[in-house]
Amino acid sequence: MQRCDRTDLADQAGSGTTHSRKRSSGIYVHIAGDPGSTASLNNFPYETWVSVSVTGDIVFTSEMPAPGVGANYQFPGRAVGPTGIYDSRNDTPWALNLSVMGAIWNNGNFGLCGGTAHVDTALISGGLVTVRRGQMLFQYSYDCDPRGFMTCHTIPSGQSQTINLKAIPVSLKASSDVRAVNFATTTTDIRFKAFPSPATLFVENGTRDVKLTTTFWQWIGADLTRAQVSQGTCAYPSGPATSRTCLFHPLESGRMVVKAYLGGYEQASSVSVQCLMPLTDPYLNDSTNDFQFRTTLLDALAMSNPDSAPGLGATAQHAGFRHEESGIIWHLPDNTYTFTHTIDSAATECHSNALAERAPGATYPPQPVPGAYPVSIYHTHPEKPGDPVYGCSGIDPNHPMWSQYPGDSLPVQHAGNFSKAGGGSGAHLFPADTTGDWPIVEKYATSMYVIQKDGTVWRLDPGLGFPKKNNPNHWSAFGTGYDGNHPAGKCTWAKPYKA
Amino acid sequence: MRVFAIIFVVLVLYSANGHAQNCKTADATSAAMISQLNEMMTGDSTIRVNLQLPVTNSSQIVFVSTDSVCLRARQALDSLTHATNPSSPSTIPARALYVISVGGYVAVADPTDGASGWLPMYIFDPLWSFLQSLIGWD
Repeated sequence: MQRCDRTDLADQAGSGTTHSRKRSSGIYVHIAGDPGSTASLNNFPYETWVSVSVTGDIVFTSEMPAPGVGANYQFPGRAVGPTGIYDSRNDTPWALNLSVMGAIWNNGNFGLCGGTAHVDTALISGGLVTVRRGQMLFQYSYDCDPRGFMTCHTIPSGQSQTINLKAIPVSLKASSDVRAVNFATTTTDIRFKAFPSPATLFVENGTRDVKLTTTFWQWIGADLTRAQVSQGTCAYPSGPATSRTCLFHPLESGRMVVKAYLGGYEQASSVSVQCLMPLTDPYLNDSTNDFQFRTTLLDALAMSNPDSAPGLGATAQHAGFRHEESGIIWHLPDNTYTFTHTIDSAATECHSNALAERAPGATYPPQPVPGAYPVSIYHTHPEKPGDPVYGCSGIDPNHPMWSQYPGDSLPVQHAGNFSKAGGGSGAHLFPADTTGDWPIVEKYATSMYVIQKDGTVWRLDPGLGFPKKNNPNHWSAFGTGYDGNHPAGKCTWAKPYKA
Repeated sequence: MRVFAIIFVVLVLYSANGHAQNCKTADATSAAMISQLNEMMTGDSTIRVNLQLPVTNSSQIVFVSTDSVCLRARQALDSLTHATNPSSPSTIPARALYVISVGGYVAVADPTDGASGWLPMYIFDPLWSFLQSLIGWD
């Protein structure tokens, strides 16, 4: 058997009909059954590893063989797949097969001539890559007509096969050689790197590099100043390479965003460089995962809609736009951490429950992965001192009820200075009550994190003595909330990047 | 001796049913109340402005231990409970309260109270009309 991968087939009659559209499962292109038809593949601007597969057959017809015709005459007509049919009488002994043409590299097209079709893997770039149908079966009129007038093989019109083109999934990753800098006192050069994951593919018994082309570098400072970086090593577009680096000198904490073309489209990734917080904290200072817990807290606060007016949107049926958000920190079997956001449909401006998704009788919600266990919980306080607070609930019939929404004729609570409470509620109630933050910390013997609208972040630890206002575990994620003399400043936490 | 014991039992019962325990004694919670009130009432505090309360000199922020005042505070608080909570009993159990005089106003906290885990601080005007409530100070 032969591989049907020759690409120097002679032009033959026929023309291709192509159209393409993007789908989640790839790009589909149709190629006509006529010999020599072509179909253009997607115009990837930079080299891209793709898989190419074909579905469907085309059928050729064959006239009755004339007396004495040799065994090489193809009769009867039949369906042929993308590998075509072996035809020893042609100069090149195959026919009607499909070939990828113009690829930088490909893996033997669709398989052995006339054999079972496989998926081709190819490296392609530009708009000139096509799939072409091979030549017609050897035509010799005397094969089927002693007078020599008939056409022995034909391809009935209207036939086509479908080509499915998929870019092989590759993700863009970003890293930096320095992950933490105390920008309050110093600055330094930092080398940022963009690279693909995976870095190589194993194709046809060989390791092949995956390349990317950077199209954008931008430093987003913690104060949201943006510096588009395009000089020196950071120049873009870069041209294909297995990785690219960008040497930059930030003056404050922030996030480097890189965009690059790989895997069939332009992707974005980012990495932050931030200050370590004083008072060693295992989650807030985890630079190995790009400070994901800080991102989690900032995201939770944003989802709390702290800039929405108190009570706005709140009705008897709806808690309103401003509300607490909460979640859980999980320890994973590989000694890293992950953070889950809890959907608490009962959350209000006054309370939320990080454990709301647990099943009846269970202590915690289901693990995100087997072997994970919870180590801490977090929630938000989306109000500032003096704000009205809707949605507080009383604990017994011997005390007043509180307004759940504007207009319900009940008295409205107001937020005090939560610093007076060490960042959490319920210090006075333990152990008589277990609904407040401090009682929950004691009940579950676990720490709890709280992020306030003003940017103050608290960690409530079990066993901390009274008064709770002396809680030493507080930091400024942004702003000057806790102490105007010690603003977050150049150590403001880097904002999450939303592509 | 027997008469003395009877008097002692009567005093204990009197105390237990609340007649002599309308005021909590000063402790960390009352100190926290005074701290919060001093911070918010003596200047341009956002909290004071939002609660529409007048500026008050810190010398006028005074812990109250006068039983009759605390009793009046409890009556005002129970009245607010009856007005807002349809589940409230006709007679709410007696208990001692923290009461702070703030100029002509009165701040009250009930240590058996809770609003989603927070201890509310109630502000009443000089005529014992309820004005505002504050959480997140303790």
